[in-house]
Amino acid sequence: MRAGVIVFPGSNCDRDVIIALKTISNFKPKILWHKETEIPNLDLVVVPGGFSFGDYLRCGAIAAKSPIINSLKDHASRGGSVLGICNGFQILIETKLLPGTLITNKNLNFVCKDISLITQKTRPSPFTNGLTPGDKVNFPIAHNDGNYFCDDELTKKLHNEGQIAFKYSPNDNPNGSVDNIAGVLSENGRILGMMPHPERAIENFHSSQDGKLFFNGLIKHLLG
Amino acid sequence: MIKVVLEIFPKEEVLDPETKIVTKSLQDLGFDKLKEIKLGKQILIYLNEQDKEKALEYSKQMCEKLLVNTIIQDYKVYIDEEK
Repeated sequence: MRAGVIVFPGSNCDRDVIIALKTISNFKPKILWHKETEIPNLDLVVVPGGFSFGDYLRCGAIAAKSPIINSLKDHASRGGSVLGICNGFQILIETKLLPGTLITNKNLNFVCKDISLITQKTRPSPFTNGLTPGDKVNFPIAHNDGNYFCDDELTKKLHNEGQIAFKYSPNDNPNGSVDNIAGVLSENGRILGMMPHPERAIENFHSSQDGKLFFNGLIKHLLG
Repeated sequence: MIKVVLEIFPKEEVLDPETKIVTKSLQDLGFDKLKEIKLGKQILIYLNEQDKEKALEYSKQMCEKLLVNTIIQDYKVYIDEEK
């Protein structure tokens, strides 16, 4: 499997993603510095979490203008898979590869805890390959601006087109996201942005190992 | 040189928790005539340009390309005549 992880100044989950992918697939992902202008032919590119460019202006806004972003868009238009986690999700939103926007958490707190997510019935997607709709998975979250916001029209479209991959439980929405949305897919299902961190739910010393389910399904799909 | 002032505010329909908290905090301090405040951001843009129309157009391009998230933010630009 050919995977790459983009690193920006301020990324801090890049190594966790690299270790998670290597542990599960046995393939070491390529590290892609944000100043590179060409992404080689890869199956998967991960935009990791962190605080790229210090979250200046708006979270992900500066990173979304980095030199590598044009080739990320090319990779996406070739049908390549893209996974954006946390700040990576914010960056994909700012690049407009994913719809809607992410605003400051409703309660103004930085939330850092384990959270239960409900897997949704989606359009065909490599990212929901290993999961059954209705399944609950536990991943950690750690963010200040994870409040997914979009108008009613877009919410309806996301539902109708099966573009919502994960939701928070209605009674445990940590950030005020519209319709408890925690993860959103692109129209072709090949781009996923999510606030929770599956790469932090792998090892025995992590509080959950549900990330294995997620990455196993993804890697199986990409290798298949 | 022209100085352009850019003001950015959250759109009315977007919940802005920071505004809500600061408003409530002022009301708690006894400012009971306060209906609400609006928290925004001001950016000063200094341009090597003489033509005011061109300066505004140029600044708007910066807004659309990077400075403003038009899904959730409104903005206005104007020339600061005082420099």
